[in-house]
Amino acid sequence: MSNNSIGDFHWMLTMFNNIDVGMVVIDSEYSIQSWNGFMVHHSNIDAADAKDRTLFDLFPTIDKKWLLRKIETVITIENQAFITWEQKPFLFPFESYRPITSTVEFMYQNITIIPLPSLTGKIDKISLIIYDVTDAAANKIELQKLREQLPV
Amino acid sequence: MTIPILICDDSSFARKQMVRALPQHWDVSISYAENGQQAIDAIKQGLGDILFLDLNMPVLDGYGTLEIIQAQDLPTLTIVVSGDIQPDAHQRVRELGALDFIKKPTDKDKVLDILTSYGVIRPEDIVLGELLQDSASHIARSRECDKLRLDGDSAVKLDAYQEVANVAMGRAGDLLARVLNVTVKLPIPKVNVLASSELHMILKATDETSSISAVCQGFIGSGISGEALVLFYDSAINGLASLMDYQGIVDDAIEREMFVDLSNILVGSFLKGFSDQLDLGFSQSHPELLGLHRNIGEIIHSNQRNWQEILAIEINYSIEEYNIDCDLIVLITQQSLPILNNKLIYLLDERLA
Repeated sequence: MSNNSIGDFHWMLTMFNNIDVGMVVIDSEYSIQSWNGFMVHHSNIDAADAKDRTLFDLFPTIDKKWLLRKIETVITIENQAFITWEQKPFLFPFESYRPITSTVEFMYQNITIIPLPSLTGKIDKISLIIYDVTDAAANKIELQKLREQLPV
Repeated sequence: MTIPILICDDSSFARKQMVRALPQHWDVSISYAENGQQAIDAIKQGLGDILFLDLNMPVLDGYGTLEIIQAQDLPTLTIVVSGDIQPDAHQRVRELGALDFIKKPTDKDKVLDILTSYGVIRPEDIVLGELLQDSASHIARSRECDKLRLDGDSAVKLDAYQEVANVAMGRAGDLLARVLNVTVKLPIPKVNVLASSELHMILKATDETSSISAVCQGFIGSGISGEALVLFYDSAINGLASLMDYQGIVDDAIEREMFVDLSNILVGSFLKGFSDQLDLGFSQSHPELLGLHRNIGEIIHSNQRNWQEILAIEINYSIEEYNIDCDLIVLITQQSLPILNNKLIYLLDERLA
C-alpha cells in the first residue's frame, strides 16, 4: 500500500467514526465486522468487543426472524431496503440523544440495509445504516395527537 | 533544608492534584489555603516561600492576592496554577509579579521544568531527596494520598467535578475570547446534584423576567450521557452582533446564526476539555434551538420521566464591556454518575503515578 492510500484510509476512518449516523457491517453469519463511533457511543460497546459477535447476541431484544427476513431479501434482490420508524420505532435499543429535555425516552430510527458485493460480485456482507430521527418522529407524534383533538 | 510550600486553591481536588504534581523526593513542608486571604495570612507566618496560586476563588481571588503580595512585598515566589488560559490572564499575572503560569490540569513535568528553570529546585535536591527516602514530607505526602483514596472510595465529592469543570470551562472561555477578541470573565462553576423538579427551578432562577433564547445539544459516550444547554439573554444580542461583526439590523436569521456558532464553541470546547481529562469520547447531537425570546419556563419542559437525580454544572460567561451574559449548563444523567465517579478516582490515581 502506498503512503497516499494509507493517508486516505486514515481520514476516511476518522469520518466513519465521527459521522453522526450509525454504520454497521455484518457478514453472512450475521457477525459484526465493523461498528462505527456512533454505534460505540450509543451502545457503550467498543468496536473491538462487538467484532465477530452477532447482532442478536449483543441485542437480545432484536426480533431475529423479522430482521433475517429483511436481510435475506436484500441479498436476494441485490438492492437496498428501508425500515422506517413508523413501521418499527427502533432496531437498536438506544436512549434518546437528549436524555433530559427530550419528550421521548428512546431513539427513533430509520434504517437502510445495503448489500455489499465482494470483488467477485457475490453479496457476502451487508451494511446497516442507522439514522436518528427522534426529533422528526416526536414532532409528528405530537402533531397527530393535536390533530386528533381537533373537531372534525 | 525543608522548603515551606503553600498551595492555594478553593477546590480540595485541585489541591490534591497539585500535591501530586510536585517533584517526588523534594524536601518540602506543605500548607494549604482555600482563598487568597488565608494564603496571605500563611505567607506572613512563613508557611509559603513558594506559593502555588489559583485565580478563581471566593473571598479573595488570585489577582487580588498577587496585588497584596506585591504591595506589601511579601517574601514568596508565586506560580499561578489556573484553568483560565486566556492570554490576557497570563499577561496580567506576570505584571502582578507572578513567576510563571501553569495551566490546569497540572502536569508533573511542567511543574518540575518551571521549578528547575527558576532555580527553585536544583537537580541535586532531587538526588539528595532520593537518598533520604524517609523524609518527613514524603511520609506526609503518602499519608495525604491514603486519605484521598479513602475519600474516593466512599463517594467522589462534587468538588472533583467542579475542578474538572473548571479546567474545561477555562478552555471554552479561552476559545470564546479568541473568537470574539475580548476578555471573558470566568466564574467559579457551580456543581449540584438535583432532582428533576429542582432542575426546573434552577433554570427558572437564572432569570424569571427577561426573555432568553436557548440552544441544546445532547452528548453520549463511554456510558455517560447528558445535555448541554446554552442560554442567551436577550439583553446580550446587540453586543454579540457588534462583536461578531454583523452590521445592520439583527434579524432572526442572524440571531440563529450567532447562537448556534457560539454554542458550538462553548459546548464543543467544554465537552472536549471535560472528556480529554477523563479519557472519554463523546458523540454530540446536532444543536437544537429550544426557543427564541421566550420565558425560560416555556423553553424547558420538564420531562415526564422521573429522574431521581441529575448532575448539573452551571457556568456563567460574561463579557462586561459589551454587557453580554450567557449560561452554559451541562446536565449529566444519574446512570452516568457511577462511571464518572470511577473515572475521577482513576484520574487522581493516575496523577499519583
